[in-house]
Amino acid sequence: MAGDAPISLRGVTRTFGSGSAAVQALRGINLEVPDGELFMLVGPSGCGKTTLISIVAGILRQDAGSVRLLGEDLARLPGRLQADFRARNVGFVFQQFNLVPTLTVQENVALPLQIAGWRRRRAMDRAAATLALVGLEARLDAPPDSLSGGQQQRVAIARAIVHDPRILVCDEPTSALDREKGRQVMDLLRAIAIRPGRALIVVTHDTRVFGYSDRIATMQDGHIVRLVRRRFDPATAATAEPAPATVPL
Amino acid sequence: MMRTALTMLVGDRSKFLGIVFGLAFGTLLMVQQGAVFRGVMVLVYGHVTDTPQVELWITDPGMPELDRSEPLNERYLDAVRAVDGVHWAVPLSRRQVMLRLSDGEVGSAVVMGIDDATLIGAPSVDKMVAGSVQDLRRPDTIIVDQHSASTHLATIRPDGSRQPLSVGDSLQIAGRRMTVVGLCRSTLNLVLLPTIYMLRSHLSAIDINTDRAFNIILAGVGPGQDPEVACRRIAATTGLAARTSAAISRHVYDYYLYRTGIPANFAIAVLLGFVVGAAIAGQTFNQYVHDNRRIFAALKAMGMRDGRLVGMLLYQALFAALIGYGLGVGAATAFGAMLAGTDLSYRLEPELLAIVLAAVLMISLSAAAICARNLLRLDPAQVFRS
Ligand SMILES: Nc1ncnc2c1ncn2[C@@H]1O[C@H](COP(=O)(O)OP(=O)(O)OP(=O)(O)O)[C@@H](O)[C@H]1O
Ligand SMILES: [Mg+2]
Repeated sequence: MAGDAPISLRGVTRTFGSGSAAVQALRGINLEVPDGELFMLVGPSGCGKTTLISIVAGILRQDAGSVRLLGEDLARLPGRLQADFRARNVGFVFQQFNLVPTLTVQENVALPLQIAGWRRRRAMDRAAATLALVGLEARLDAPPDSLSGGQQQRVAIARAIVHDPRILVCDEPTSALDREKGRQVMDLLRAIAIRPGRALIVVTHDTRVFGYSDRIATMQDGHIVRLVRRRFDPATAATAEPAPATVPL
Repeated sequence: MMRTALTMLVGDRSKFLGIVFGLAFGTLLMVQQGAVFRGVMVLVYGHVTDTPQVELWITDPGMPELDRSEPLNERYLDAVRAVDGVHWAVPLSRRQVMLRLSDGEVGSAVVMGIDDATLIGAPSVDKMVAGSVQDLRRPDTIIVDQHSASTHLATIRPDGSRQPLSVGDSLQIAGRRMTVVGLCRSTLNLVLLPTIYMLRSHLSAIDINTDRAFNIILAGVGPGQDPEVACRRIAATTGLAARTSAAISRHVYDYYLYRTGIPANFAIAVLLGFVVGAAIAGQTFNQYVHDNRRIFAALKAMGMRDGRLVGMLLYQALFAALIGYGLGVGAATAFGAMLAGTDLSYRLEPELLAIVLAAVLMISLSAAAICARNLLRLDPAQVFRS
């Protein structure tokens, strides 16, 4: 049922700037992001993808329309509780990784837990376990800069899922990586980040990874112009172009 | 989270060192200048400290400091002796005189003309390094402070080394040859003039400018008598200013503190330490926060509350402040140890350390507070922008 989707947007608009400099980044978005699958948001540069997932992640307010995240209307919560909501429920993967260079890999992954109030010791144990999931159990004490880009993004994925969030947003997770590393990162996301009850959104304009999606929304000029449901096929994911639309808008 | 905050700051090696260096440098300058200031300022009442057996110091009421007290006369002395509660009172002539060193150079010295009858005002036995106070009764004799004897008053040998003035040597004071019969330890005075003790009768004989006048009356109270009460009585009956040792020390101290340029000079140096420390540390801390704004924005996006973010920043600043302060105080202490045994007087007192600690905390916490304001304005949505 549509109303039960973890993420539900109705008539959402967002404009940056004002007067003649105003940019209408979102022009009325209706969107349901279901759980348990990989939802991909694609479209040309400047079409509003980042703006949209910023709203979905609870770090940007819409101008109009309604946004419900896990049934909550964040706009009605005070700032402190919005932060708490994100600490509990949202995981982030960034194009530039955004790891803290002066902390170890393990400390970086422990951060979301510490933000959520865990004791350091417990947080570090959980971080180590999560790093094992992404195959970096041997690099716990390494500084992030000593890792390759692909490894750093795996650390970032570990950090994004360590607190088991119900919303996971990834902005261009493969754009800073070469084809092979990008493929590994998408394999990893599919393998460990999809789970029932969790909405997983990947924003990308990297056509090479479209095949990893279960559903693709295409944006253009602040609108969602196409929504495609696909059958994910691991054999062809790395090469396949997305299938033609099977679900009408 | 707080440990993570420290790791974050310390790991940024060059910034961390910059902040700590700024604070340590500021601390060093403030503590060092403050200690020299305090060291200099206690010299101004060194005479009082060196004469502990004296309980009351009586001078003309307008006296600003001990070297500049108007002459008194025997009638005042008699009047003081007659005051109820005063057990004894003796005159002291304290003045600056010209002296000629063995190499012909002219200098000046502070001369204490002490009471012939009692020798009160002379160095106490435990302050005598050589010779004896009693020998002052022999004609044309003096006791010289040991420090000056081995510095200003020493003779330079042909090979350039110094031959300290010692017992048996002589010195020309106001045109008269005086023989050294003793050396004593005494607190240096502010301008490092030699201190010379002789009988008041000898001083009157060589100092043609003055008669038998003296300018300070030293007195003591009887057993069980309150010196403060005696002071009030003396003031009431003689019109002179009578002060306890503590009061005259404070009076002279206040004169130098409020009426001379000495404090201002030190204040400027201390202020400089504060400003330079604040500038270096504040700027570096600001740079640290600026360079890490992406990280801070990510922490915000990941749900760190603003209050916690600010707490982290304050904690980092506090940590850097304590380390910088510790290093600065350590350096200032080492500096003091280097000065031990020289002319310079250096006093590291707990009050000074507390004031400087407060100043350093103020610098670092206000730097953190200013940076915190920028962090609060930081838009978490910028984490997705490259
Ligand atoms: N903070 C902002 N201030 C002003 N304009 C903005 C801001 N954020 C986004 N925009 C504008 O809104 C529009 C949509 O931007 P957005 O970043 O969402 O696009 P995008 O689809 O993520 O693009 P890209 O593929 O290049 O990342 C663009 O025209 C952009 O310039
Ligand atoms: Mg974008």
